[in-house]
Amino acid sequence: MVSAAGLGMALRAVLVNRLRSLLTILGVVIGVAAVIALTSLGRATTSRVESTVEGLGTNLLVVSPGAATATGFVSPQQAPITLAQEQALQAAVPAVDAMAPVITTAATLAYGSTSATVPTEATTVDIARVRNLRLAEGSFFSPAAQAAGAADIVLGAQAAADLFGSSDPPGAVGATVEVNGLPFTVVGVLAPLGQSGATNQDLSAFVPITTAMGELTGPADLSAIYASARSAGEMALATAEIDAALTAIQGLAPGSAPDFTVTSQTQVLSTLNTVTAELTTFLGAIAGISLLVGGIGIMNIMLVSVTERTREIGIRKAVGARRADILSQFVLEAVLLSLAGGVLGVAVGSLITLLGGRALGVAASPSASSDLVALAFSVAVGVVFGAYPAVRASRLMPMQALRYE
Amino acid sequence: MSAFIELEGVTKGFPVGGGVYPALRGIDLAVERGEFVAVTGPSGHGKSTLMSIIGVLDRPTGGRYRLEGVEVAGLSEDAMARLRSRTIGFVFQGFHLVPTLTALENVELPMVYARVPPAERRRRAQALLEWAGIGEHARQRPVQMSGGEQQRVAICRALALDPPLILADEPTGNLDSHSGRVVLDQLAGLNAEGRTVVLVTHDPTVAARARREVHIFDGRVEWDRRRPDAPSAAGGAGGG
Ligand SMILES: Nc1ncnc2c1ncn2[C@@H]1O[C@H](COP(=O)(O)OP(=O)(O)OP(=O)(O)O)[C@@H](O)[C@H]1O
Ligand SMILES: [Mg+2]
Repeated sequence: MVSAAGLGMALRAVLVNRLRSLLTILGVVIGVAAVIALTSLGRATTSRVESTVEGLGTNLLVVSPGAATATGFVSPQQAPITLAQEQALQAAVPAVDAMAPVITTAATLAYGSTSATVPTEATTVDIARVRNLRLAEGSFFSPAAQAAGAADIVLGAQAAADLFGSSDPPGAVGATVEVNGLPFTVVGVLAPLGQSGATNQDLSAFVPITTAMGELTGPADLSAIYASARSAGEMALATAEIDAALTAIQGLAPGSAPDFTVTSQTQVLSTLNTVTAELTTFLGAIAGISLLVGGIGIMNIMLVSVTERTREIGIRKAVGARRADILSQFVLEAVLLSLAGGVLGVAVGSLITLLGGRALGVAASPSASSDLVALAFSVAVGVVFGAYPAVRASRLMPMQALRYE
Repeated sequence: MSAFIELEGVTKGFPVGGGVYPALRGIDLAVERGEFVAVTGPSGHGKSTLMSIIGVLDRPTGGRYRLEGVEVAGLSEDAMARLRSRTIGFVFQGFHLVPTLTALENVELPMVYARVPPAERRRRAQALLEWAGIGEHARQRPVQMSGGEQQRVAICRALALDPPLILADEPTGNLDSHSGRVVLDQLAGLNAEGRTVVLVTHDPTVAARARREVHIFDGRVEWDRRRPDAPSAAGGAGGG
C-alpha cells in the first residue's frame, strides 16, 4: 500500500528526526557521489587516452631495431635498420598502405632571438599519410623538395608557438629558422595533436631525411620505420609481411629470432583499454563498497528506529494496521531516505566530477545514465536495508510492542 | 447459542527468567451484546492481560476465545487486524497516541488502515473531536495536550470506525476526577447507544456505574456480580 496518507506519514517520520535522517543518508550521499565522480572521471580519462592514441593513427605499425623480449628491448641491437633496408621493405609489403623512415634527433631551433630544443624527425613526405598529420597552415614538404634535399621544415603546433608566439595563425610559413645553426625554410605548421602520455606531440618538427643525412645528422641508422596498414583488419597481415620481408632483407635465417620489433597501435590501445577498464572497475568497486556501507548505515538507523518506535507500531497494529501496512510504511521511509541521499549524492558527485575534471584537465561530465543507475541503486539499497527491520517490526503482536520499554 | 464475547479456561503465561509466569490461570467469561461490564481487581492480577486477549492484541496460551462466535486462535494475522479495525475500539490507560501525528490524524489512523477516503476520514475525525468537546485541539500533537484531552482523543480514535465493542483499560486512571467523569459519561453514553463496553477500573464509584462487575484475583474470575439497579440503564443483556 503506497497511499497518499502512507507517503505523508513516512515523510513525517523522516522530517521529525531531521538530524538523524541527515546522518543516515550521509553514507548514501558519499557512496553515490563516489560512484558518480569515480566512474565519470574514469570514463573521461579513458576516452582521452583513447582519442590521443587514435590520433596517432589506429592502423599504425612501428618497426624498431632490437628484438623484444619478455623484459623489453635487447640493446644494443646487432643489426641496425638502414634507409636502404626500408626502401627494400617498401616494395615487399602489399598490405602496407604507406611507410616512412624516421631518424629522431633533438635539434635546437632558433628564430631571431628565440630558440627551443625540439625533437625533430628526419623523415619522408609519407609520414603525413602514415601518421594522419593535418596542416593548420602551408603544406608538407614536397616529394621534389625531398628528392632535391631542400632545406624545408614543417613545425608542430607547439614548436611554432614557441618560436613565433601563439598568434593565430602564427604566420610562420615562409620564415627562415635555424636548425642546429643551419637555415631552413618553414613550409608548413601542423594542426594541434595533443598530449600522448608524457609526450607533447605538438612539440615536434619534420625535415626531409635526405637533407638531414647530408647536413644535420650525417649518414645515420633509422630510429624507426612507421607504417600504416591498408585497414584495421589487415594489421595482422601487414605485421606478418613486415616480419618476413625484413628478416629476409636483413639476411637472417627464416625462423630465427628477428632483430627488430613490430608494434601495432591497436596493441597499445588494447593494453591501455585493459588497464583503464581495470582501473574503472577498481574505482567502481571502491565506490560500490562505500555505497554498501551507506546502506548498512540506513539499516542501522532503521533498526534503531524500529526499537524506538516499537510502541508506535503497537499502536498502529492495535487500531487495525495489517502487517503489510507496517512493512510498507518502513520500506517507504527507507526509500524516501535513500532517494534523498541519492539525489544529494548525484548533486555532490556531479560537482566533484566537474571540479575534478578541471583539475585533471579532462572534459568530464556526469552522464544521465550513471545518475539513473546510482539513483536506482540507492533506492534498491533503501528497499533491501529497510525491509529487514520492517519485517521484524511487523511480526510483533500489538501488546508485545506496546509493553516494550 | 454463543455469547458476543466468550472465554473458556483462557490462560496466559509470560516467559520470565527460565520459567513461565502464569498471569491468567483459567478465565471463564461470557459477555452479551450491549452489556456494560466493569473489570476490577488488585494490581498485577491480570486485568490488562485479559483485556489484551479480549481485544485481540495478544494470543492466549491456552483455552478458547470466541468473538462474535468466531474462534480467534484460528484466525490469520490479517483477519485479526480486521477484527481490531471493525469490531473493537481499544482505549488504553496510557493513551497510546502516535506522538508525531496531530489529534485529528490520530483519530484518522484507524480509517487510514480501513481505506476510508481522505475527505470522509477528515470530516468524521473532526466531527468526533467536536463531539468530545476538543474540536479546537484538532491540529495539536499529543505533547501539546492535557491528559484528559489526550484520553478523549483516544476515545475518538476508538470510535472512528464505529465498532460494536469498546474496551477501556483504566481510561480514567491518569485523570483528575472531573476529566475522569467526562470520559466515563462518554463511555456510558456509548453503551446507552447500544455498544458493548468493557472497562477496567480501580475506582469503586466507577465500577458502581456498570451493570455488571467482574472481579479478577490471581489470574482467575473471583466473582461476577450483576446489579440490576445500576444508574446507567442501557440496552441490557441479551442482544446478539
Ligand atoms: N510481557 C510480560 N512479561 C512478563 N510478565 C508480564 C508481562 N505482562 C504482564 N506480566 C505480568 O503479568 C501479571 C499481570 O499483569 P497485568 O498487566 O495484566 O496486571 P493488571 O491487573 O492489569 O495490573 P494493574 O492494575 O497494575 O494494571 C503481572 O504480574 C505482570 O508482571
Ligand atoms: Mg493493567
